[in-house]
Amino acid sequence: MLEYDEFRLLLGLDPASGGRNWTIEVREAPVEEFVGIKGTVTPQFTNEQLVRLRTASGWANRILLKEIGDSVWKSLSDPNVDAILLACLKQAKNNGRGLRIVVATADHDRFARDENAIRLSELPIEAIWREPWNFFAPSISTPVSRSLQVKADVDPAELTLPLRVLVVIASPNGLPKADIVKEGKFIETAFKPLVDSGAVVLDILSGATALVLKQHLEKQYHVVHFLAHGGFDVVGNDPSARAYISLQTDEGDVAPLDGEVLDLLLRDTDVRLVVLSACSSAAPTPEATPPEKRPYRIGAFDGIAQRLIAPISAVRAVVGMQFDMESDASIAFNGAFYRKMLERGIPLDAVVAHARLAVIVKMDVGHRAWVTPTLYSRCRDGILFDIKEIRNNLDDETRKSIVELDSKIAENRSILEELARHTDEYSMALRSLRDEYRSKIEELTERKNQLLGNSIRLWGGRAKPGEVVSCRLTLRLRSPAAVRNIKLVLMFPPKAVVFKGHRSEAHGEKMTVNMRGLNGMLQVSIRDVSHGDQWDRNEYDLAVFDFEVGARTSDPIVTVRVSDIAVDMSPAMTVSNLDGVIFVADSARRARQLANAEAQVAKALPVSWPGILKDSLALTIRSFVKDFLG
Amino acid sequence: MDAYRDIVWDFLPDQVSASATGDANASFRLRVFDSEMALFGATPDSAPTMEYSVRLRLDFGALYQDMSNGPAGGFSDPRPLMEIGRSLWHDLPHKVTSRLQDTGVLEKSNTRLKVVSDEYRVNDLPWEWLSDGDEYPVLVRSVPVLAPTPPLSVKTPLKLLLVDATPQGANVLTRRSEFQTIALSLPVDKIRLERLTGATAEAVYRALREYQPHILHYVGRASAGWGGASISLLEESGTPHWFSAAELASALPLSVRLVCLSSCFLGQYQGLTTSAFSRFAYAPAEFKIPTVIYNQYELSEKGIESFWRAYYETFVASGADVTKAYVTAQRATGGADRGALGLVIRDGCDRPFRFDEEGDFDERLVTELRAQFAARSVNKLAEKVRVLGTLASESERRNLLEEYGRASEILKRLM
Repeated sequence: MLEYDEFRLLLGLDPASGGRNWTIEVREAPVEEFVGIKGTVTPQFTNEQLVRLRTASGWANRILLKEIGDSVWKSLSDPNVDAILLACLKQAKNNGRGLRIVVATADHDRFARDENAIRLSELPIEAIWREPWNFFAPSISTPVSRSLQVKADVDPAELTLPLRVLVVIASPNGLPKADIVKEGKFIETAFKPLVDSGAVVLDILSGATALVLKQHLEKQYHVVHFLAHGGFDVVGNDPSARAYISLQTDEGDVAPLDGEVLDLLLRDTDVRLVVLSACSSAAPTPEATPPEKRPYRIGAFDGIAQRLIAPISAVRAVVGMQFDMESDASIAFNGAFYRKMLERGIPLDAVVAHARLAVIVKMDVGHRAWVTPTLYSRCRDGILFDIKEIRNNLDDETRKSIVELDSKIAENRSILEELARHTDEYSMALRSLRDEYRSKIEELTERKNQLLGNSIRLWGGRAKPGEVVSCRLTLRLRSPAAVRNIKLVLMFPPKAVVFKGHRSEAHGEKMTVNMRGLNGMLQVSIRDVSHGDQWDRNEYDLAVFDFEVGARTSDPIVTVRVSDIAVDMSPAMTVSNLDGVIFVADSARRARQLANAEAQVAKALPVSWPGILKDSLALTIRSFVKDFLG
Repeated sequence: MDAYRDIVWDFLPDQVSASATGDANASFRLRVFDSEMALFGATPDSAPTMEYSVRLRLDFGALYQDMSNGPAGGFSDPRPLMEIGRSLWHDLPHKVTSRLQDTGVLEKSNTRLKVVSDEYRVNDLPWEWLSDGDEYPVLVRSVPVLAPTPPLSVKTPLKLLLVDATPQGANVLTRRSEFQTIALSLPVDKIRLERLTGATAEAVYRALREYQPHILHYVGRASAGWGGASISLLEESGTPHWFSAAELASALPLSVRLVCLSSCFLGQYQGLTTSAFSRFAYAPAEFKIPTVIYNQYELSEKGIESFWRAYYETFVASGADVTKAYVTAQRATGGADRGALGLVIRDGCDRPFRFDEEGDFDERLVTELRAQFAARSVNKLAEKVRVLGTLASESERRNLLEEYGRASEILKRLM
């Protein structure tokens, strides 16, 4: 599988030019020296080119699209940045790696006062073309995506298959119906093999009203795909026109759903990806726009994607369409997109690149259709889901309860982390409060365990820095089964805890536990678990893993993740996983004490001493300080 | 201690002829309430006492810009700003403004006008200049919450972390460093100062963690984008490192209950019309950022000194009354500088601190923090129910009531 480097450009408005020029900064690059502010550029991409792209007719046109792609790249780069990108591409290629190109914008479009200026979000970065590399975005080795963050800030979300997808179809009165219904059918067809294999659960909600959508979302989906018209207008009583998705009223009329409300509907859900597609946008096309209002400046879903990946949203990535998407292109895109998305470890932008390629095969490389999809993401390394091999067959109600519990656990963890940041002056007062929140988390975790059905759980514990905590690994069976082999992976932050050893037993009998791996990851394989017996409904000890909490650990909570579990049992049943949580008492205070003590020691050592002598002495003193504090 | 009697003006969008890109004027629905809680339908009588359609002029950003392009060091002539204030007053229905006069909000400091809106265009208006031509009301801005956060018990001196992240070569606000001016304005016996210059994100995290300040006073620049507003900290190289409201919220320890954002902001540059500090101050209530005082436009060096000296002195002397300190500072500043800073109360709390010099307040502190967490939980739910309106389910409403009941119980223990 291809691995990637990241090349992240940050675009901003240059204040000195009133926003007409843009500032460029390389935020991430495989070579550290390339990172930094690079200066300003005058956008070469023009309004005329934008209007042309927004015009449905006259495609494919390879020469024109390359010209546009060239202008786009020149709007993002000066000769320095150009040289940097080429060097990064070359290095990535030589190392057999891909290069993810991410363009982040840090300024709000509204701040540009010049009506004729191209807005940052209007630049179709997906069209970047650079001789001799050709177009970047449709290549899986150089995927192109957008971001609103100067750095990616969320880790992959755990996904236990099946992937649950809700397709929302709305075609209100007065807006074109045919294409949306047709596309809905095609999406269903594209999903069929995945649904048949059990990898995807697909629900289609037709004629969606906002209330029905809200009720559906309680069933906990991972992906919501809107097949609806978009618009940009005054919504209800709101005078500031905004982007919206056209849902329906009970009578079938247009019911606009704007980004803010959609964001709230998706909060506290499992939805991490939103796809916004419309085969015919409700936004005015250039041809339909009165001359005095040309060039048209508003994309149908403009602003919704941005709102949905704001820092407090649950959603981590949005695929949107910057121009009207042709039906055939849309079908090709969606089919390829979802098939690829379920492959493990592929960045979402590479998935989109793969889907762009499918559009090119269908339409032509000179067609604007493959440029149309945009990906906004805030995922670290572009990875949206950490896909588990196991399948989850929990019912809707249980899944909903688990999501609610997860939300409460996260809230309490956040409070505990906040409490841990406090210094000695509050420590006595807060001790009872910390205990209270630890107990709450343990209680909520146990409730979750009760809901999970069959589960493999790593039990955590409480310890101080420097102490060893023994974590039990258990298997909980809800119905009798003979368990042959179990494989799983334990992942932990190596700076926070150190694996010290393991013991294995079940009902007093030794089991064969093989382990390998280092640096925060242990691959565990347990063979002949029930020794051929059928185990009754109960919870069984499998093994005990000892972890020493690092003396410098400042985190109040350390999670040892249980992942990639595979349970060979008869009868075959699904098994969920539950991570181990180690509560570290007084972590922040002790880490601070240690750091201060070491700083004092370092200061006291004569400057003239050789480095090796100082290091050796520092090590001894550190060990002494650690023992003393412990 | 005086409790404030509030008059709340809530501006909602109304039908309007404005285009997508915005006109110079827009219509809003103005609802007047007697308390912020009524906005959430939480009081027995949650109906507004008055409701009107008003049309407001919105192009004051351009005025700021024109003024910013003038001589450095703030605006010398307050008359254009006073004119804006009178114009705002006259744009409002007579019954609304006369109620202010009738209830004495213009005279008595314990009656306070709170301006509330989700609309950034309303929030960008220079409400601090609102006036009948003779007097100014006691006016604050607010990000409304249903459950207030109780004051935090502290012993003086209060701890203030002064962070200077002005990038090299930036157009700093005054000829003398604003940082120095603020430092010299503090009542040193009541407020202990820790300075952090050339602040990197890591240094700020460390200082917040180790110093556990009660007040964070930031001097630097801000920017706003789709991803939200950010203040600028520095990279090791001295270049800006944008630090979002969400990042700050997660970095702030529980001890920080007041954030002051001052100095140069993007609004002073030609062509950019709005203050990013305002976006920061109005970050969603869910962000754990407490009450914020922020620059709206440039002020003079003397103004900075007068404002912050009066502010911090009154803040300590009045038992951490943010409004009283703010109004006193405005009066002490005068001239065009008078309305340069806005106060956004974000936690429903009039006094973020409770000075307790004698007591061993460990037990009380636990209850205060428990109340703070409970309030957060309630306010998150309340905001969801408020924005969803009719889409909010019965169970969400029920859940809100239960959480609210729990939070109220904890608050009662502190009374």
